[in-house]
Amino acid sequence: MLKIWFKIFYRNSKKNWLNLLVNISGLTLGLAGLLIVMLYFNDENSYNQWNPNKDDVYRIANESKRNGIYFSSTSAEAILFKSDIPEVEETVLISPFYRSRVLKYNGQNTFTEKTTFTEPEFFNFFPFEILEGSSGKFLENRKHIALSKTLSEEIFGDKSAIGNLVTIDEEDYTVSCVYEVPGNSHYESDLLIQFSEPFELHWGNFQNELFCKLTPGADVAEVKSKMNNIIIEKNIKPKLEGSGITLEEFDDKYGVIKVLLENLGTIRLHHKADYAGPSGKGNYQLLLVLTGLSLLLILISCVNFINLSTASASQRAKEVGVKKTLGLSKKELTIHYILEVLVQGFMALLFALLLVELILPYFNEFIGKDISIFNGTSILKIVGVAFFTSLFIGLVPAIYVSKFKSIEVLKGNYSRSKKGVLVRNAMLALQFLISGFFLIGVLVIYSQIHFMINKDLGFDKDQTLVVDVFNVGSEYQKYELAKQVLSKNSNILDVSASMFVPGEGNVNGTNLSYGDVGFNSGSNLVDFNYIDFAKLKVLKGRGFSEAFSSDTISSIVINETAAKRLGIYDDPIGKKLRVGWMRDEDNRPLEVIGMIQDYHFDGFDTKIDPMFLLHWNTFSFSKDWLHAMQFKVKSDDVAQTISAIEDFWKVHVDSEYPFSYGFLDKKFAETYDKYQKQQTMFLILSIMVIIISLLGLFALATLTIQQRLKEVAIRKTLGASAREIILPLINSFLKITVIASLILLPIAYFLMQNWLDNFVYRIDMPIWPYIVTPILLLVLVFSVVGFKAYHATKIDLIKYLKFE
Amino acid sequence: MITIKNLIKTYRTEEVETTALNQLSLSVNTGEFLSIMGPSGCGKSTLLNIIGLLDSPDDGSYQFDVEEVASYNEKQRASIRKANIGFVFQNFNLIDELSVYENVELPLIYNKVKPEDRKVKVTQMLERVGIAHRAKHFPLQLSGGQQQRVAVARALVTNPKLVLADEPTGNLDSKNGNEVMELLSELNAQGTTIIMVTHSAYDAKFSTRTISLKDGEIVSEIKNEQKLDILIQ
Repeated sequence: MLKIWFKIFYRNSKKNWLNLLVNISGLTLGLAGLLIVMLYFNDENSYNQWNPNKDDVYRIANESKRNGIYFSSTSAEAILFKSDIPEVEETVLISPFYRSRVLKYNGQNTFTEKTTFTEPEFFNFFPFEILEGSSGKFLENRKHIALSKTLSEEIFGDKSAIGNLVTIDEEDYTVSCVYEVPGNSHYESDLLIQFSEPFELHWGNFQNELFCKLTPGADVAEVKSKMNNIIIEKNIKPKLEGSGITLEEFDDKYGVIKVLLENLGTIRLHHKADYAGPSGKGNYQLLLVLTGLSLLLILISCVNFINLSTASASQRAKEVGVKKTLGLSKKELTIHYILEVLVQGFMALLFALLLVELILPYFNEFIGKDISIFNGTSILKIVGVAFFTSLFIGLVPAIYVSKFKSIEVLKGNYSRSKKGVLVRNAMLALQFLISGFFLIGVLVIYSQIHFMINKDLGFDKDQTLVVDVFNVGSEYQKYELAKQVLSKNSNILDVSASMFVPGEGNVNGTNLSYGDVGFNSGSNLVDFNYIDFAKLKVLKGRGFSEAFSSDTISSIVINETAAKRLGIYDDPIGKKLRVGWMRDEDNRPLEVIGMIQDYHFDGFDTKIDPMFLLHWNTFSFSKDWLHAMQFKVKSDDVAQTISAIEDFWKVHVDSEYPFSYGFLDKKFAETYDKYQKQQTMFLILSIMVIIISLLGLFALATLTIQQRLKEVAIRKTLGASAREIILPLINSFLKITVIASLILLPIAYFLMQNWLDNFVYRIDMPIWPYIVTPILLLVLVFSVVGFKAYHATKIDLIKYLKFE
Repeated sequence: MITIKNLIKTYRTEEVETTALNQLSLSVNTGEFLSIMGPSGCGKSTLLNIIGLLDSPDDGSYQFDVEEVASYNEKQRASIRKANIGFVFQNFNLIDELSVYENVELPLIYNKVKPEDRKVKVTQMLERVGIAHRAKHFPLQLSGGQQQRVAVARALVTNPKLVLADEPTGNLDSKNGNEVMELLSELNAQGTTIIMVTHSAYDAKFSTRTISLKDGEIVSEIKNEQKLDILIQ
């Protein structure tokens, strides 16, 4: 029985190879897409899952009306939450960004970019696998450091690292343990250095990530309210005492900070604050969209499958009729049919696995990950999906076919049912709809990204070479020396320095206040010429200048947003401000000397926040915050200019850290990298969807036209011209396209409007994609079906008039 | 009207060569009703296809209305076919998606007849074959005899010089078959030239002349005298 079944299947497939090709390739692409998205999803979900504390550890974020949500916390919170809330077992403060450091051992320098500063309790929260030494040893002394296995091997080779003295920033440290990070983790540091002293209680500096470990089973909501209570009782109320301001008034004016507890197990994908650790955050929305899109892809290939099988059913009606008269039951027929589909599903699955294995390396490079196909249960799931999809798409036509009345069929009275055609047309419309949606999506996304890339950012990023200053301590001296010497190079037009350059993502936030109005503001420390160097536009007053000695003592420049928020937009010059870096007893006021136009100092997709500029010499500590030295270089001989800077750098500035530089426009481009990737992914998916749809359309057109060849022959006998034959054949397809387009337009408009709403700076919805897409669909349908229809006009009349 | 001389048509497959028409000569006069009979494979359908310009001969001469058409290409054949020949098939070959009226109208559309003229002609034609009351129905809603009458109407609506019928009663019971044959004789009596392929000696008696084919050659020819008797009955 099986042999005969297989024979029929095999010969049928040979005859209808186009159907088979469309079916299998569609399913293959669909399954491959889904598998990749599942692997990606799995990987994103796996963050911190290895951590036995994941359910009890929470990161504290701070939310206030004025400043939104901050991912970092104060030392006061760390200290008081632990001492005053019984459910909080332990707290730890950890620096949120990786730093770069050089380790000196035996006269050899080793560089690492993944240094994390932490309180000693790090391993109680992130119990990495300890390979050598112990976490207890690490706790003993603040001069103890911990190394990852990779870094340890790089420094010590295969010798033991424990107990060795290494020098970092002129200080000696003892290696106390070597660890390995067991899986994707919030921190994947290579070097752990402890803060040199325990934190003092301070409410002002939101510099570190704060983690709290709760007792198992603690009521999170209750802990949260206790935390909020502590902030009010210990921070705000003492401030209000005697001022006559009520708590409500204070809340209205400054906003009372409330905490958010973000669980370690889910923080990667479900973070409320903008930042989720140095390993980065997952884009949950994007994952959902990708999953949805890959499911649509599968849906489209299912539609193809069902459409083709039911349309070609008439060709197999005779086989079914004979089988039925020979005594096969409906059930057996259904099983035969489903078996055929399962075989195709299985083939598609194999191809999909092969395809995924082939494209994973590219995908990994694209998303910057290292995903393997044998990662977790994804393969099992995809086998399940393939099986049930095949079962489903097999069942529909199987039932359709097995319902044929055998005698009618054998007499040749089989005719297409109206209902079947309607369902098929509806499914075709659905495909056009989905394809059209993808087309519109690609076009709208393209427009928005084009807009963002070409947007006036408010600063000059051309020909600006940025060199990272790693080595901390006396940076300003090195900078001044470099400036003095390198300015003489004829290929270097200008030299400046600042704390950070636009798009780096770490905007140093601190309080900015005028009278009793205050809020968290971005800040930047700059050299005299920075405003001119970066071509920032001064709207009122002036920029910094060496001519005013006060500019290194008490001058401040603010942006428009800050001026508006402070309420001094109309007349900012001369107003006396305070910033969070000043000590309470520091009575020197900062005087506004200028207001600059808002510029995108934090990437172009975020709203421009208030920010201020100070000269780097304004505070004693700020001298060492010049992390980014910048050179405006001539466009010719760039390579030579760079090597000139590097030569100087290696000798006079820093011989330990690697010479690390980049062009500002490229660095800034990284801030829209994410969107360009989205665009690429959407484009690839769209092309896949459109190809699968067109293949399906082609096969369906082939079939329906084949079924109408008798009609074509009759028309031709009656004297119809080629045009008169082609038009009716194409007509129904064009009608479906038009209807699908009509349904598509409002849906796509709504969804794309939603997508655009994600952007602070967005385009108005462009209208042209909504005109181009239906036209493009019509053209595609016209050419695909027209091609088949034109062939139909060339048929052999006698064959179709005689034998049906 | 038709003069055929030494017509040859052979079919080749990979292994066998079949001679469908072997040096066949035949002439048909205007107003004649010719029946072609013979066993399966004798070449009668091939002959009909060539006469109907659906197919072309390998060799020989075919004059249609003094025009030599044997070597015409597809396009030239189509234009003569469109203007001069109507077809009636065994399996009716109506288009299921079109109504009776629309089926009959179709050749007029292709012959670029004006819409107002079309309406008159179609209505007249439907009345003539007695199917006017079914004009809005679709082929599948009709009996076989009715469908064949629609097919005849469609074949005649352009007023062709020649009607070719390929076993017009083959799919009909005797009552319906009779109706169709009577319709054809009537049309012939009104002046239409008809050539019909048939298996049925009974049907052949409706025609004015019957030829029998075997192995691609004409083996006998009979003038039918009883035709009028049957009509009288």
